[in-house]
Amino acid sequence: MGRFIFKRTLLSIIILFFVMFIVYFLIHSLPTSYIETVARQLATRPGNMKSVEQWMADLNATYGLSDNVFTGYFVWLGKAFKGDFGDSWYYSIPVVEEFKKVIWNSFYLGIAALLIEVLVAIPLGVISARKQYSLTDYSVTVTALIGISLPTFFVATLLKLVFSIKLNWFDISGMVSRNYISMTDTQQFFDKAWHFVLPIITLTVVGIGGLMRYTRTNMLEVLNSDYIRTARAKGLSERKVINRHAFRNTLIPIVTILGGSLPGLFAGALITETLFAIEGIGFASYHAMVAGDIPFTMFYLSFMSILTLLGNFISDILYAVVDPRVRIN
Amino acid sequence: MKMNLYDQKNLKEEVLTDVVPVNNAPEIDEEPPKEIPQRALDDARRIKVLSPSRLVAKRFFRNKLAMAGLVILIAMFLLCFVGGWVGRYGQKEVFYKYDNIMFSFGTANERTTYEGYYVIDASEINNLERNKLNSYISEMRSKQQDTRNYTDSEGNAYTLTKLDENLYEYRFHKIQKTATYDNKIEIGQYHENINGEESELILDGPYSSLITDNTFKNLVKANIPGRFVYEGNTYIILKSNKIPTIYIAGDDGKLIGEDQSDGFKTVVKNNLSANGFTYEGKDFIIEFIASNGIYQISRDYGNRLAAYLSTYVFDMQEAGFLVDTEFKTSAFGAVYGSGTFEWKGKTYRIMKNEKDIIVIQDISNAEPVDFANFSTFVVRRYNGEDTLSISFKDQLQEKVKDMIANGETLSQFTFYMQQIDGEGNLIFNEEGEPVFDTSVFVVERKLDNFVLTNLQNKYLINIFDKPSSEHWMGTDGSGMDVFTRLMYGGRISLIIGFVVVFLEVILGVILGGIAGYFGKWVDQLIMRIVDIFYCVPTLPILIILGAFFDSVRMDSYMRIMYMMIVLGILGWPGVARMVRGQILSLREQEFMIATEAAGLKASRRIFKHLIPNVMPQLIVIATMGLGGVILTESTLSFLGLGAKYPLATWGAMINSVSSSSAMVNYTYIWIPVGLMICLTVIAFNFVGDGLRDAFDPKMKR
Repeated sequence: MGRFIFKRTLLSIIILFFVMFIVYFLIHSLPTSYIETVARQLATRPGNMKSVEQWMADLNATYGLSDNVFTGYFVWLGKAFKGDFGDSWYYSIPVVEEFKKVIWNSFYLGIAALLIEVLVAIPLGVISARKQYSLTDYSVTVTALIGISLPTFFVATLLKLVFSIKLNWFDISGMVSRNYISMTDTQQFFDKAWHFVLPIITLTVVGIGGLMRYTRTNMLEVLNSDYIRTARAKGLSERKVINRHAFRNTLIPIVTILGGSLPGLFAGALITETLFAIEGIGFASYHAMVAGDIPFTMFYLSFMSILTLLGNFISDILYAVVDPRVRIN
Repeated sequence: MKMNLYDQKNLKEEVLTDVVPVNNAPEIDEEPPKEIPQRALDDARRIKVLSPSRLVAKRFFRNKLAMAGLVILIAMFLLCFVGGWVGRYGQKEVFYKYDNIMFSFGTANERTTYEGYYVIDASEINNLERNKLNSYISEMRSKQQDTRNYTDSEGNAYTLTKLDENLYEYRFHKIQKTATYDNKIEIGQYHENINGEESELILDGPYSSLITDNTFKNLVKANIPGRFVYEGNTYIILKSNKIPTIYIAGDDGKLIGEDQSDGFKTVVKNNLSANGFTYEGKDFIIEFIASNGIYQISRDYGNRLAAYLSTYVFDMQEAGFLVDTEFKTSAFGAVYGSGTFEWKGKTYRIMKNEKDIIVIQDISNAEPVDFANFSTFVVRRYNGEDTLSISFKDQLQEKVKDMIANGETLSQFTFYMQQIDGEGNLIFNEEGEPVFDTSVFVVERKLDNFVLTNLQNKYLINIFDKPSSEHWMGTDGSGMDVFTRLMYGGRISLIIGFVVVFLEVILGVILGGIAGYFGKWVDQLIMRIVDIFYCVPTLPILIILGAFFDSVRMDSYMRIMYMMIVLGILGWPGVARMVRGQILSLREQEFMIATEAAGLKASRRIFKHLIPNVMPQLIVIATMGLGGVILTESTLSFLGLGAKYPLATWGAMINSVSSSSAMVNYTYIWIPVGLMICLTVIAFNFVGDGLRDAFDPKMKR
């Protein structure tokens, strides 16, 4: 097992090296004229203390953009390894500071949505598999497929129309109410939570289908396996068969998948956060990217790559943990 | 599981699994002949062989969800590809309409500045002086003066005379310098002792007798500088430097100026001591300038009437009739003059009517006809033209008076007038008679201006039109037909989907196939590349590219091309993984050992034997992938980073109405478009799901 983890880690590092290279290569390929134009535009933003020339110099120092792609990559990698991603042009503060400011909002959003998804999707998936071809099964399957098919922006816009505009229950966007500052701590907490409701619903609606289908498929597989037949044959009650034998075994692949999605909690939801103006990493990087903030963009791309890689890594390890056969290969 | 062997449905299913191996095996027909209800399982008459593809098709068509998806997809394709082609309108066609809107009709204000109506050529008076006239008049009004005389730096004299509150007469006395005359001859100097005790004259020879002449000396002393006559001669003293110089006026001098003829010179010579003279009917002023001892000759144009300054405007009885400045100045002249004037062969009379308004009447004919009114209330159409009737102006003036008295800023009145169409032309009916109707005018006070608006029929871009028979889903913010754009947008979305999936599949099959077939280090290498591409975040990269394309203003079609390429390049790893996995397992099967034994080439074995067996999964993954690509594309377009206006795509259409006000008011635009996206993606997913089940009946169980 230790050997397996070691091998996987090594492999992940190599992959990361190349992924980062692709990311770096992309940014490096942007024409200098574009970067300069953007730097000039952003240099006029309030709160900015540096001149365009300084910015470009900083950029070249941190990112080696003036060097060729390979030497530049190592310059950047060296800095990035030490956690130095330079100053964000759009936010006028170091990239890492902006990141620290927003990351927790993304995390809260992600974990809430994930919890709801798990709590709703797994039971529904199990029920659907148990009553295969029943009305329940059909509605669950169809709902799951519809959920997967819905564009996030459409769900978000519809929710806004119904709950924010027609019913006036929520603010149309934003993370806090106008009188947030004058509230007590508890009130502040609930105010923020209230503003998170619609984004969480959006994320849940869009994300729940996948997990539901996954649960259902795995449950079906388990229910068709020999040991379930054996359990039934030896006269166990249906409840015991399902809860003791089938469900536990279904949990194995699900836990694997869920473990793999844990790093994704920090990835933020780019579209949802942007549409609801939740100041998370997705929101922050969307605005930075659209404005052409190179330092922040570089950081975000690397961060996303690392998260994906980490997710795969965790998934693999968990899979190896529950299924010893994987370790051999 | 309970099983009734005589139940046809269960019977069939049981037979399927038991008899039919997964690959290329015959299938038992579903419906046994009716006349033989009960038959042994191995009865040859029951068995009808179905080809594998027909088997798949049959299973697929039996799946209601998949069929629903297929129907939706076919409808969608017809709508997008045929619909756009058959449709009445073009993708970028902008619609216009005639509509009644509150539109600016005209303005009105009480004239308080005085306008100059020039009798002489206005350019004779310099601009600076002309521009000061209004301030002079206001000064006169505040000092309650009736006349004001003043001169400018060039010696021209002006007179402003008040005729009444609204009418001033402006006279101009023009003096123009035309020539100088110099006839002095130097004869000596006058030395003044600083202490004043002794002074002496130094004169040239012929005049030396005058040196001792004390009378002359005193005259010199008294005229520094100056001019005096002594013993018939004229002497001129100039104080150049510190020592005064003595000149004598010679018989002949130098004339510099416009007219240098001898006749003019003679007249000048004869009138040197006079103030002025007349030469060839022109008046001249002659003036001795002591400081340089020469004569300045100026033309005197005399005191002339230059202009009338007035706040009056002429309200013509015949609306829109134009009169020239001559008419206006003659009319002003007549007000405090003879009372009548002539213009273009007609005679006009000025009089005050019963309302105390000054009226100009045409008295050329026996019956006097009202021709124009004097007024200080200016009413103009919005384009500055004076085409409104007097009765309209009167009614408006009364309204404005009321408004001022009541302190209102907004009011309205009705007026019965000839109607105007969208282009501003008067409307006539079929018989050529003008069409009259009552119009409501809204008067709004804006400081001293009164702005008139009324409901006018205008030719407008038909924006955000409600759904109608002409525009089934209304029109968008640019006046384009939403339904048409929906069809065209769908076309682009679907094409993007297909191209991207095609790219993904090509790349995925080649790389996945190679990896799976060759295994070992090739597999390792390709799968690591897959891992690498799997980690590259697609959406952020597309967003950065979108922002970059925005900045370089890239063409809309080029953007789409790049977007497709990027999506394809970043999307293939999933396909490659699947293909590799399938090939890995297929490779171990007997039929592959058979191909090897038969000595087939590697390429033939891959493309003829392995790939066809991956096809089912490939079709499923491609179908599901189509939905995913359409989602990504619409999301990007929604963010404004994909296809750009005026090119229609579904996402971009929603984006155009995504502000919160548009969201509420124009639900008939974005909800159908959003539903189209959902329906298409759902349909692709249904069909993909159905295909998966049809291809692989094991999964279903």
